[in-house]
Amino acid sequence: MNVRIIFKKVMILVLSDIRTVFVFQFGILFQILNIIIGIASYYFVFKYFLPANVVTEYGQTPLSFIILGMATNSLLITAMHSFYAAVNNAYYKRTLEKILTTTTSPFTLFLGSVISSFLPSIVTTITYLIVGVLFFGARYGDLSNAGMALVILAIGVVCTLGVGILLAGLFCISPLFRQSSNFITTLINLFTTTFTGAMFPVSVLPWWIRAISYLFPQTYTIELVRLTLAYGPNLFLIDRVAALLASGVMFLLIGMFILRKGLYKIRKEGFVLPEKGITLILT
Amino acid sequence: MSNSVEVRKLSKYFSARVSISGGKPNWFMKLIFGSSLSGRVKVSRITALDSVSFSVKRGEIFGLLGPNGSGKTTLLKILSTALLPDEGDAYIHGYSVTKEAENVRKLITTNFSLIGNPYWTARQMLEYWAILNDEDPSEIKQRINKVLDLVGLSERADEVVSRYSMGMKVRLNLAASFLIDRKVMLLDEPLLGIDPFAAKELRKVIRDKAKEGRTIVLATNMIKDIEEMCDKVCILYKGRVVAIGTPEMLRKIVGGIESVYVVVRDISVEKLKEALDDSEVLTISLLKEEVESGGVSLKISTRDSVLVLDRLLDYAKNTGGKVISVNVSGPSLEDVIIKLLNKGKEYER
Repeated sequence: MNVRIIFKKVMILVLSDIRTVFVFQFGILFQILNIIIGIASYYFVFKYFLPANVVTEYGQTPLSFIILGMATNSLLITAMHSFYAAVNNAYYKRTLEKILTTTTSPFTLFLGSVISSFLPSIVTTITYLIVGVLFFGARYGDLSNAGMALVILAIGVVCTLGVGILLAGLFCISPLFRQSSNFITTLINLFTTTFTGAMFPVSVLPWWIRAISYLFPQTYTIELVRLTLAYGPNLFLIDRVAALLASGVMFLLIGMFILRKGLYKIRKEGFVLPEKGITLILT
Repeated sequence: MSNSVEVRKLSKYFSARVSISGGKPNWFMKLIFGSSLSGRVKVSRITALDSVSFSVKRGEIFGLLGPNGSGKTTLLKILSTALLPDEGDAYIHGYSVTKEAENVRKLITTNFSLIGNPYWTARQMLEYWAILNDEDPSEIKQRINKVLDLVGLSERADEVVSRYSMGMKVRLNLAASFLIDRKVMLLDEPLLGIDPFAAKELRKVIRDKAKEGRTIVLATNMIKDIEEMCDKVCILYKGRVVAIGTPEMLRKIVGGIESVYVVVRDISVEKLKEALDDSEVLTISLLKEEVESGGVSLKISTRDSVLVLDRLLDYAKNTGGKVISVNVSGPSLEDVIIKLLNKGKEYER
């Protein structure tokens, strides 16, 4: 396998996606406006209703805590959702079926799609952080630790990709999952946005929700980014880093295994698109 | 000449979940799974291909013909490695489509796989397609111009594809298949929706591709495609092979059907049908009716044209009608194919 050719194909896929994004130029403006309104609402909630001592462990004000959480989570949601969305889109738009007749691997197609979904997400994350500082006086910790926090974030993103790969694999392998995939992914998105520590510390959750939260690499990533920014690389973070890696490796391995099986199954069963009352086979 | 494409006992089944009427929709299932699983559901098996075998030699144009749902597209998808068969295998230049898909993909090009975005221009789509198929980047631009010219899209190559008519999209797909220079071309309805003048030109282009040594397997519903392009035809009906051979061979298999074209005047068509009832007539179809002259053009398909003409002239003499012109021709390919498909239906019953 020639890595240079794969890289070139991926870059072309990314550039073509960017070309498409620019067709909808106003989308980016609305996204920024959405972020400003979102942060403003949290600002007023924290200012008038919540005590500051909830998040003292992280050395941040509640508003900085939540902005950093949302910014980190924006990338993690993309990491979780992008691979699944790439497979879902490729399946329903039938690109997957078509790519199977070419010399390009479907994984190259997915990778291109994943990378291009990170571009708007990186813009969102940076916008969160900048808007927080400029308009609401947010402080995220010691900036000299930012490099290390970025490394942690990058590891967390890769680990969280595993969750998306697993979802994509389940989508391919199970027609039942495929039919209910919107419902299930919305549920998982809701859970991970709410209960992985983006908006409030996981420690305030009941033990059984906390147990589920700690299955996901997002929970460790968000916590580690905050703590690294506050205290720098520290020995007491080692167990969390190990847990993040273990969770990520588990999701990546199981995800890849199921996705490979799923792609084979799709080639076997054909592309089936659901319609009113009857499952139509469009081959 | 060795075989370029070999299909051995290929079978493909699909399962379809069908809602049975009368079942009570479960709101919870409906909420989670959408409408497709609401109510009672039955899983039924559909045979798309049933032990299909044939071989295609290098440089041959092989036509797959059959009504909708006969398995033509499924067969092309299996040959293109997008779909796996349930039984049997197929080989492209000796490589198995099930076990050596990566090698097969280096040998094929299709007109049904073009990937792109409707907001792109035709030229951008083709550039992207060429890269996905590992074509030489230094040659791409020149070749894109050439294939766009071949399919008659040069002047509109820089327009966004979403503004294209159906015929133009078909041409673009065909251009995509020409752009990727491979030994085997798999074409699904390559000229569907294209005007007759352009279709004639494109048939010549496809024939030239075969003359250059490429093997072409094409699925079509157009008899003209078969007559003007194909060296061999495989007629499929509900996934089964009804007949395989050259168009001439198929004519011989059916044998003896002739078409008698007559123009008559002052003769009742209904009564003529009755008069010809026992003279080996298969069908009588009205081609044209001229109100001013009272002339009627008929096509009579028969096994015995002499008997038909004899009866026709007798009938005209007895009733005072006139036979203005007579033309007898051998069986048309359309007649042959309809006959063979009818045999397929009888066999099924």
